[in-house]
Amino acid sequence: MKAPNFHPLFLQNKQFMHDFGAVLQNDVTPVQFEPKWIQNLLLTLEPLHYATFVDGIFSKEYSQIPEGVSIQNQAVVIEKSLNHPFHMVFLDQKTHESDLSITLKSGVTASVSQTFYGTASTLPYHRISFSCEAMSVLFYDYLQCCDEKGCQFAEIRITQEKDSKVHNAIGLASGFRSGVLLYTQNNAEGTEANTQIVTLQKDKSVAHFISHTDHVAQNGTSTIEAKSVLNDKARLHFVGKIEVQQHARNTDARLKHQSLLLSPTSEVSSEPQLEINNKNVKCAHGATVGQLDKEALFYLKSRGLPEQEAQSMLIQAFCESLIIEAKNGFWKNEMLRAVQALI
Amino acid sequence: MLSIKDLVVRVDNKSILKGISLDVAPGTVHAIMGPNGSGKSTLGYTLAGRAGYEIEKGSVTFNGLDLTKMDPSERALQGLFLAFQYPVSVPGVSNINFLKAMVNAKRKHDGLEELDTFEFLAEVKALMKQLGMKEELISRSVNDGFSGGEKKRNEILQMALLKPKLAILDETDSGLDIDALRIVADGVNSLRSPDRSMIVVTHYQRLLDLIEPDYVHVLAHGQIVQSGDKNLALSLESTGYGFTKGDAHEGA
Repeated sequence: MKAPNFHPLFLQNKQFMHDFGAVLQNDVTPVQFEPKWIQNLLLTLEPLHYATFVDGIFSKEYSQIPEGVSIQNQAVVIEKSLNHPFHMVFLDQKTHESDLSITLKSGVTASVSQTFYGTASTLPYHRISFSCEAMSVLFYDYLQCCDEKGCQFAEIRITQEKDSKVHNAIGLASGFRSGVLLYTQNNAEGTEANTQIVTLQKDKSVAHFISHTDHVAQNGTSTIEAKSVLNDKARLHFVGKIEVQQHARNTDARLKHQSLLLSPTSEVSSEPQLEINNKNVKCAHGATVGQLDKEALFYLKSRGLPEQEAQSMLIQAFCESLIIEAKNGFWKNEMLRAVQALI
Repeated sequence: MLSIKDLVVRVDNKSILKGISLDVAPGTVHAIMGPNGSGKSTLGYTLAGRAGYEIEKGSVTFNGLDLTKMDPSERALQGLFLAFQYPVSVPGVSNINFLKAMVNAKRKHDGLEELDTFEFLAEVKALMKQLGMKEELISRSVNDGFSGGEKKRNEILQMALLKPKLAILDETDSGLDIDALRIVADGVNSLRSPDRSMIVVTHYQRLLDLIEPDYVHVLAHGQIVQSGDKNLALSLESTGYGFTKGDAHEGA
């Protein structure tokens, strides 16, 4: 299998390449999603407006594009504010690389969801670039659903212009090997970026998550709140980098990553990083790793809740602020289902 | 209903209970009193199945079943309830969801259908009113940010919903003012029935003025050193626990 053109931030991580070496050595027969399965999936998603990409290629047949949105040559332009969420469905049947750019025109407010489905040991690599023009507001939900043999990789790049706002909800549910790079950059002043990340892994799942928030212009704020739950022999390598450039004064940037390990054989490595080149900024970062609260678990069990239900309730509570309060019902339900599947 | 024979329990490799025997018949209320560190809470936690409470010797049967072989969930489903001295906060789990999950787990075990949400909510609200609980506590996280009194009332609310066969109330009176104590005691008394037994663990007579016990036992140094009727509690009020400071076997 040919290796994708990994982003340098992935390649810098020796462990990353080690983890994916075994996958790259496999030659796997591509799968074929049946039209009926795709139709059923779209019915399940219940989107009013959607676009489907099969192996990274836009499929008009399975799409319903709203007014004010155009898609040409892997470029999506949103020219008018959308009243309903616009759902993009990515069906990955074989190993491939794809590029997609999405532009939110000035002043536009839009909710964009992206859901990725992969299966078997294929290795899709998606590069998605958002360009948020001045005064635009983006609500972005990203959901990666793989079976236990599936691999998914994505580079998400969000650039923000003056006074634009983005609200991201990133969900990663198990899979064999997965990697996400989220790069957010403000090119002009007054931007706001809020990101919520939930990663749920079990079995032998290995994930690498790199979040890089790059403050280039002044008066920008960014918050990243990430929660990870790992069971069995799952492993996560999380890098949360905040970079403040020389001219980005009055930046307010925060990052928090909390992990919950459900088994003694699960592993998490969390690296919050700060690189600050302006003295007039506020930055905070932190990481915690813990286990389920034994006292709380005993309390729930002492009321008759079976072990599994009690654990599930506590895991859900751990992720609650990020899952329950999510605006996208589909994203929320899928993540809750992934919580149930963890134990 | 409950039969404890010569129970020896170690916690952190230290003997806490040193040979307790106690029989609790259906419909009876037993008060367990004693000085700090005598093993009262250890007895409650051991019966509820808390990890780290190692039974070194003795037996505990509950309605003919070996309680020591059951995990905490199974004990609860069989009808044992421990009202915690320090109820645990569970941030992120809403009280109403927890109460519903708890009741439905019991109903499932008993072969009953899940409760209708509206009926359940009406029952919870009626009980909360009876216990003088603010309705907002229903949607807050379990015990999270509750005052001491609110936590204790929440324990009695859970007990009222689960309708256990045996309730162990571990210092339910601690942290309660006089009015709250009366409300909680009324709640407990309303649950007294010929087929429900209670073990009331307390330091003070004042709770036993409101929840009248059939038997009173004094626990000291991990052993029951004296047993009697409700008058024993009254005499302890004037004599204190000074007599327990000598030989642990005195008066046993």
